[in-house]
Amino acid sequence: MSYSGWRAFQFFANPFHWEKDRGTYALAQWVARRRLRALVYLAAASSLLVLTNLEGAVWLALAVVLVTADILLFGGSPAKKEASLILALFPMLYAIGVWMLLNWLIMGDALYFVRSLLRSGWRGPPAGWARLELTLPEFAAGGLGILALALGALLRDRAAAALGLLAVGAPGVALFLVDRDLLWGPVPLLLCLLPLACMAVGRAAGSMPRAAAAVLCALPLGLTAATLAVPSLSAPRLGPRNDYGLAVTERALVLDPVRQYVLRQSPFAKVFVCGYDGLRVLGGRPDPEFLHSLDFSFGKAMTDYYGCPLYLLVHRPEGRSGMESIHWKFPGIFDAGARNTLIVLGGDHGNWRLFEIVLPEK
Amino acid sequence: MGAFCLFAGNFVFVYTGALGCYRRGYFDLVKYALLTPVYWC
Repeated sequence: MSYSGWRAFQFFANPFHWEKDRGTYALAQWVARRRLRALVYLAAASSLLVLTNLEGAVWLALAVVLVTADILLFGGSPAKKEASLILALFPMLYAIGVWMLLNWLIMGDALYFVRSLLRSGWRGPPAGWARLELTLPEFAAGGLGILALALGALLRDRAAAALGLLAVGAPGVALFLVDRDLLWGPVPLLLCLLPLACMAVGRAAGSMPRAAAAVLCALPLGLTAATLAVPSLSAPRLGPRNDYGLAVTERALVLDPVRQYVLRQSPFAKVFVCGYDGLRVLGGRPDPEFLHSLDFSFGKAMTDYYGCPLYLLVHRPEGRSGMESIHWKFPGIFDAGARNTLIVLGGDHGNWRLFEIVLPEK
Repeated sequence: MGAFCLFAGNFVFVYTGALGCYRRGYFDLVKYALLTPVYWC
């Protein structure tokens, strides 16, 4: 599957994008026509976005600020403003409450879903626009969003301005999250850029003379046609897409020496590769020596593989890797090992450190 | 299914009450409509 095809698949496979577009359309309807139905759609979309993922929640914060400002500035009488705010925000706040309740009931901690972010302290150097891996159509779509924002301000069309701001806000939020190493990649947010820009430009065109509106509407249509017709346009223009190359390099540099080392100790050795970095390095293939673990447990590992020499391969807690559960469940494990189970350093392999799990004496 | 009815069903009842107040123009009553579960108790 080509890169652009993969992006299209991700767009249609993810309800996040549906809700985002539906919420954006409802926001425009509410700002332009003050229809109660639009406010309910917006509230429903925002509550579902809260339950979807982190980037949805952060992008939603921008939409919530826009709605709140619009209601407070142009919402009518004080009582009506208050009622509109309650109807707009209550479902989202309820969804947040339910999410925290479920975290508390299942994981025993209401803030479990942000615990890794809080523990990691958002480390990592600023990355800049290059990390967004923007394609030419995404650049153009961002430009259309800015155009819609400017036209909305000039024509005093608040709905067009709000849509333009949301379209431009998508890469802005992506940059904010990627810069802090909180996002695996900007794709989930950038996928919505073109539909958002189309909506913004279409809304702005509605307030313009017919000829100018036709020219303006031709811009997103031409961009969409060019994106579909010329796949090479969707190749990233800024920043290398190096995940695959990095994984292949790490596989050779890390797994092969570790395999040789552990097999010299015992032919029955098992190595637990921790976290999402482990998923990338292992490539999802079954392996007789390497076992992937997103949520490692010493007790379960020693029960499941009783009698086997066990090893643990831990990535250095830098950037996003610092948010892995192995680092916040066992703080300082990379430098000092775990508290209750004796771990002997097996060796460093690039950014990975190998530990041997040794049963504590009874 | 039971959890879904608990969380989604009760929310829909409460929100529908608030929507009714808004639709009828009783904006002052919208916030009190959120207290409907207290009345149920």
